[in-house]
Amino acid sequence: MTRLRNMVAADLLKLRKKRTMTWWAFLLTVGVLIAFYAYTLIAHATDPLHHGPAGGLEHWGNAMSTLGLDFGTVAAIMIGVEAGAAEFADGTFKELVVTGRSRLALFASRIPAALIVTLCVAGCAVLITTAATFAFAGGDPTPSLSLVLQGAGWVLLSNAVVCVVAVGLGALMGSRSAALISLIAWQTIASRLLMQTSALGGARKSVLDAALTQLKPGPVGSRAVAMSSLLAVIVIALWALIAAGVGAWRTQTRDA
Amino acid sequence: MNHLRHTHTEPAIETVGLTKRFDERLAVDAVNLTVPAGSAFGLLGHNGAGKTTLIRMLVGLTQPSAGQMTLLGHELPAGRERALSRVGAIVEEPMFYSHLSGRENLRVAAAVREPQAAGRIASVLERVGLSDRADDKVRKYSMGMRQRLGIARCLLSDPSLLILDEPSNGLDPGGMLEFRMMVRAMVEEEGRTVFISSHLLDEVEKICDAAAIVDRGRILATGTIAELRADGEQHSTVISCEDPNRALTLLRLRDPELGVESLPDGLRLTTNDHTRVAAVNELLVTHGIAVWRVEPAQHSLEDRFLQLTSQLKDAA
Repeated sequence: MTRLRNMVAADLLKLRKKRTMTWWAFLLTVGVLIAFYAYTLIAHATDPLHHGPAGGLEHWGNAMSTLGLDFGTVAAIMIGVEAGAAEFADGTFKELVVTGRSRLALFASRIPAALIVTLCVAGCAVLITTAATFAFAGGDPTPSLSLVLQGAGWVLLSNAVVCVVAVGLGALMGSRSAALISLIAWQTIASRLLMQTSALGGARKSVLDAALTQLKPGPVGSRAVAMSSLLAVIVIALWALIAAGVGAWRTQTRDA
Repeated sequence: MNHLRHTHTEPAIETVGLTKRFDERLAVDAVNLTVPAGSAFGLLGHNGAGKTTLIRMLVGLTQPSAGQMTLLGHELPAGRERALSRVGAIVEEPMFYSHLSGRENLRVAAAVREPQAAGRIASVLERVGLSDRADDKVRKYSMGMRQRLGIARCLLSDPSLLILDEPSNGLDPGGMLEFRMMVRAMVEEEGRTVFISSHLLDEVEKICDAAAIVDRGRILATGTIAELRADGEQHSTVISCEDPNRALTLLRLRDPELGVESLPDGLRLTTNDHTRVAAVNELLVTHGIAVWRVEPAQHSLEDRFLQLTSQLKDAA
C-alpha cells in the first residue's frame, strides 16, 4: 500500500511539474470561464437591455456544459494522455520496467495521479462558476444548493471518465500527439456528428458524450440521444473500463 | 549500504540457448552465458552484434523467442520481480524526465523500488558527484552527467548486480577513469557483480575480470581477460635488435624452418621455446648484431577480438 502511494505520488510529481500542460489545462477551463464572465459582465454593463446578468441559472447551465462536455474534457484529455503516453514517447518507461515492478502496477498508478490533477483543475473551474453564478446573478434566478452540488459532481464525473479514457488510449497508442489528436477529434467532432446521425438509432447510446449528457443535471439544452440514467451509467463505466483495460494490456505486452 | 550480497556460489547471470528473433533476423542466437558473481564481466562486440538485445531480454524489456535465463538465482520470467529488485540497469542511453531535477528523477525511481531506496538518494548523488547539481533540471545536464545520474539511479536499490550497457558513452577521459575506479570498488570492496556491454575493447580490458566476445548474436569466446588474450595465440617472441633485415637473412640461412618475420625495430619469432630463443640470441650477438630486448609477444584483447570476428566474417 505504501509502495502504491509512493508510485502515485511520483506520477503526480511528473504531471504537476509539466508546467506547459498544467497551464494549458487551466487556460482551457478556468481561463475560458474568466473570459466568458468578463465578456458577459461587460456586455451587461454596456447594454443591459439586450444582455442579461453574467450569473444566474442559465449561464450556470452553459458553464457546466462547457466544463463537462467541451473545454473541460479537452483539458482532461491533455492530462490523461500525458499520464498514459508520455513515458512511452519519452523512452522513460524502460527505466521503470528494469526495476522489476509489475507493468500493471506501473500503469495503474498513473490513473489516480491523472485523476488528482484533472479533478483539481475541474474543481477550480467549478468553484469559479459557482461564485460567478451567485455573485453576478443580478435579478435572475439562481440554482439551488442541491443543483449546484449535482452540477459539480457531474462535471467532476465527466472530466474523470474522459481522463481515464485518455490514460488508457494514451498507453495503447504510446504517442502523445496521435492520442491527443484522435481523442480531441473524437470528443469534439466525431461524437457530436454520431449523436446527430439519427440513422444510427440506438447505437448512438454507446457514445460517451451521449451518456454524459443524459446525466447532466439542470437545464441541458437539446438532449440528442434519450436513454435511461442506468444505461448511461453502464455506458460510462464500460468506456472507462475498456479504455483502462486496453491501456493495461498494451503496457504489459509492448517492448519497452 | 548493505553489503550482504547474492551468494557467490551461484552465477549472477546464466542463460541457456537464449534466442531472440525479429521476423527473419536472428539477433541473439542460442546464447549460453555464465557470469560469475562478484566479478566485473564484459560483453564485447561490434555495434549491432546483439549485446543490447541480450541485455533487454535479461531485464524484461523484450521477450526471448527461446531459451532460459536465470538472474541472481531466480529463473525468468517467473522470478523477474524478485531478481530485478536486486539489479540496477542502464540499457542503451539512460532516459530521464527532463522537466524534473536530478533529485526528483531519483525520487521517481525510488518510488518503484523498496521503501529504503528513497533514503539512499542523497548518498548515491554524493557518490557519483552530482550533489551540487542535484536540483538542476535534467535537461541542463551534459551527457556525462546523465550517465552519472543513471549510475546513481542503479545504486538506489543497493544492487547485487549492475547491468550497464555501453556505460562509457559520453564520459570524458577523467570521467572514464572515475568510472573504472567506481566499478572496481563495487566489485572488490562491495562484492557486487558488474556486467558491462561495450564495443570499447580497451575499456573492458581495463575494467573487467572476464569477458565474452559476441558477434552476429553468437558468443564466440568467453573466459578471463588473460585467457581470452592467450586463446588462439601463436606463442611468439619479439627480439629488438639492430639491422633487422640482416638478422632476418642470417636466421633464414641458418634455420629455414624457423618462423621469423621482420619488424621495424627487430624480429618476431613464432616460438617461445627458451632454448631456441637463446640460440637465436647467441647467433645474432656472435655475428655482431646488437640485441636490446627479448620478450614474449603480448597479445591484446583487441587482437583476439579482431581475430575471432574476422574468422566469423570469413566463414559467412
